[in-house]
Amino acid sequence: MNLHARPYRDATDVARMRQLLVAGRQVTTFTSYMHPGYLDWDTHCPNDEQENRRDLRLWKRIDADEGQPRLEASACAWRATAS
Amino acid sequence: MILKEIPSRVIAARSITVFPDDTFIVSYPRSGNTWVRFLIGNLVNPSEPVGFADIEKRVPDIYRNNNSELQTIPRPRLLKSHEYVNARYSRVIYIVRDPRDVAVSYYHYHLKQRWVEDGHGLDRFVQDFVAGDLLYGAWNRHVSGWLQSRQENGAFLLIHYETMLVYPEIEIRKIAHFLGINTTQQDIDRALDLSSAINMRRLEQDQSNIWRTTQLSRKDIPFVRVAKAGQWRSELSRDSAQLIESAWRQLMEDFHYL
Repeated sequence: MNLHARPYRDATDVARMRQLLVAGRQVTTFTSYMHPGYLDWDTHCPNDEQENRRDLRLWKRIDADEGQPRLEASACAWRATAS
Repeated sequence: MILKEIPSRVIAARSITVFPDDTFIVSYPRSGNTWVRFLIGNLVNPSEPVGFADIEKRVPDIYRNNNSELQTIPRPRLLKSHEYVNARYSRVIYIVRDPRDVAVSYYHYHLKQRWVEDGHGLDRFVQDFVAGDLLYGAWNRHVSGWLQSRQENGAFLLIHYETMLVYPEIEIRKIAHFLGINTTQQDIDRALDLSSAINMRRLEQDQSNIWRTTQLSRKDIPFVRVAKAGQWRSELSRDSAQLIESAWRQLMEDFHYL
């Protein structure tokens, strides 16, 4: 599997990330899972695209059979600062 | 070394800074919380009708704002919450609704927010609802948690959604009394009129692209739905209704839903 990592670009990435969570929930029953509502809160309340670009990362599979890069994973960094 | 989170990434939710004069409007989702927010907002400041465009400044949602934003709201604050019982909340208006209607409404809300796909049936959703596998967990634990810990407390007002539909004026007077707001009959009539389902639907049409809750959502599914009791009778399958009733029979009987 050939994965390519890239930072968040724009709001269409949020839609892709949400879709990944929904699809994952659809096919597997986890003992715990991230509800897509949490993603909306983290990325949109308030909506700060600069923060999203800094904190969100996506991994796409670029050798998918369908020929189109496919989102395989995403992550949101909750940063900590020293004081 | 002390580690702290950068506040702007973190919605207020459970980490909210609570002030002693805060009043929280609490409910399980889809139980009439937004309606009550509108009613109170229109009652508190009759000269400025509440809309979806400014509801987050007037009666903000702790999940749609971060702590810094909420600290700019003039006190005493009125805040919307779906939290489980929380001892830090000093004053609470708690709204309860028939869980069968909640399930139907929450399902449509999940579709609207694209949290489930179109093919995700209502029966399957109800299984997650009863199991508590949704945002804010299980209805019975939410309701019984608040009632058992706070019902005898004077700073707790219980509102039934179904009673609000039938006797809105009586219920809004209770809310006004709880909040210590002096109201005239004209204020109450006006607040009810401005917060009617018809007016809220009209506001939603005009302002859903501005409100954080609906900005990203599907526009073909309304946020303000039928605003009636008993909708479950036409939408829930017999199996799903029985699943809810058998899971939470005692609590539903206590509220005369059964």
